[in-house]
Amino acid sequence: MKRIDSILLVDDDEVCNFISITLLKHLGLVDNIHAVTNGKEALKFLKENAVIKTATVFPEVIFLDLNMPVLDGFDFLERLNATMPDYASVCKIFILTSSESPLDIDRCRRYEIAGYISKPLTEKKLEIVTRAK
Amino acid sequence: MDQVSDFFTGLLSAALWPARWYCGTWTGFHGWLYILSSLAICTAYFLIPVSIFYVLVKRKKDLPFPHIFSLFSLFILSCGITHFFDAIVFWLPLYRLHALFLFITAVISGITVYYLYKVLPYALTFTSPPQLEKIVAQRTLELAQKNNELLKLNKEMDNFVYTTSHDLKSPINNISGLVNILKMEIPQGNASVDDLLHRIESSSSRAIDAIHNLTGILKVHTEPYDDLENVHIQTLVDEIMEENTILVKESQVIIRYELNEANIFFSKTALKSILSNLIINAIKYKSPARQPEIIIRSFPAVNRKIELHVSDNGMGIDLNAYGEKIFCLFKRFHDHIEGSGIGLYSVKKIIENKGGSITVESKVNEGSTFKMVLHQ
Repeated sequence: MKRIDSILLVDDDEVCNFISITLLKHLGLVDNIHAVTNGKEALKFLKENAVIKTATVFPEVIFLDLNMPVLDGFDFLERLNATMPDYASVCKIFILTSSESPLDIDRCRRYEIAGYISKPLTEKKLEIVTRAK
Repeated sequence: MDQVSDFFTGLLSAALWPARWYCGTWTGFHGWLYILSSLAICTAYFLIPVSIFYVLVKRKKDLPFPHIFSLFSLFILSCGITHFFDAIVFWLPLYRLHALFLFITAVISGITVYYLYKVLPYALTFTSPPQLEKIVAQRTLELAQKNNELLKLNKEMDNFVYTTSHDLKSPINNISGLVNILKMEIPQGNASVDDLLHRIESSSSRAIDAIHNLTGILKVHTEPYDDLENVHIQTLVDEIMEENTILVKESQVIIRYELNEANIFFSKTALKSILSNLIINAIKYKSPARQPEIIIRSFPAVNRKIELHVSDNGMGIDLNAYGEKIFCLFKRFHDHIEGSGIGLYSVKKIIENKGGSITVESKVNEGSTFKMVLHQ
């Protein structure tokens, strides 16, 4: 599989982040992994790294959960789209969720999304991510 | 008594009195005013019952109190007759006949008044057309409000199921994710540990399947299935077979086609769901005695409909015992084969939502045929 420079995990479920991080580390696919627990923190992280513009830290791939406290996945996408409309050219966003609601899937279609992955992250599902790169 | 018998024997006699013109002093103007007015009233009194009679005949069924209408007609008619006599006595003094008709009018008016008082309380409860319209408008509004409330409630219910399923799935997904990691972390080869891990995995995947089925039922009801296209039946079946490679290879199933219609203009997702449910069922419930064989037939039907048959040579269903129950939710008739009890339910719902129908013919130990009529 192709390597990914940097991944940002956005999920309030710490166990889920733990699983994704452990799997990614085990497969040795990624150099930098950073996890935040809601959309607000994710925006803050992106802003800081966008200013520094260090290619190694700015995430190449974002795994985004939808249901989160403070700022959920949809609000994150809305604000990201407003401040950085060309985000899709810089990083690929994959929705990583347990939701099966057609409403949620429909709402995601309004934004530039690289894929919709159901939890938990597995080696097989990661192949889709590296193929989309 | 003599007076009474005199009255009736000489009922038509006009000889005992002078004509009214000669009774007292009438001027021409006064007399003709009296005569013409009486005749005008009489004409009107004769025409009113005619129009009432017309209404009675036209609206025989839904007119309330038809007796009152008849009595009232009769009353007006007899009043008219007395006015007629009032005019002709100027020349022909038929005062006895006049008195008789006055008496008849009095009797009829008495009966009419009696009936009128009797029905008055009921008549008061009647609603006028504008009142009725108001009531209908109000009820329609109430109905629309109730309908909106129900739709809202239904949507809330759907969201509730999705939210609950999401909240239930998250921890179970985590369990299967953690088992994955555990398998990577610990050295393989310990049979009892591997067995334990396998059991945890299958338990969590069963829980996920159960939740997935719940949202699946919801999707059957809410999914619009609007991806209409000309679906090539054989290509779609190939696609289904490819997605179930393991099942197909293990069962060594043979699929045969007798397609008189190669394509169906239908929602591809819907048709795929229907056919994959029926094909997978045919494989799952195969006869242990034979190599499974599925025949897919299609024919044109009336009104651009298409008939699609899926036959198998499997175990068959005892329709006398189960009948149409096989299409019911969570009904399962074999406990040695895994199933969720929603497959055929979804198939029937999807077909019926699209205006089609499905029936089944089956013989135990010979096989089943599912016959569908699909609305293009």
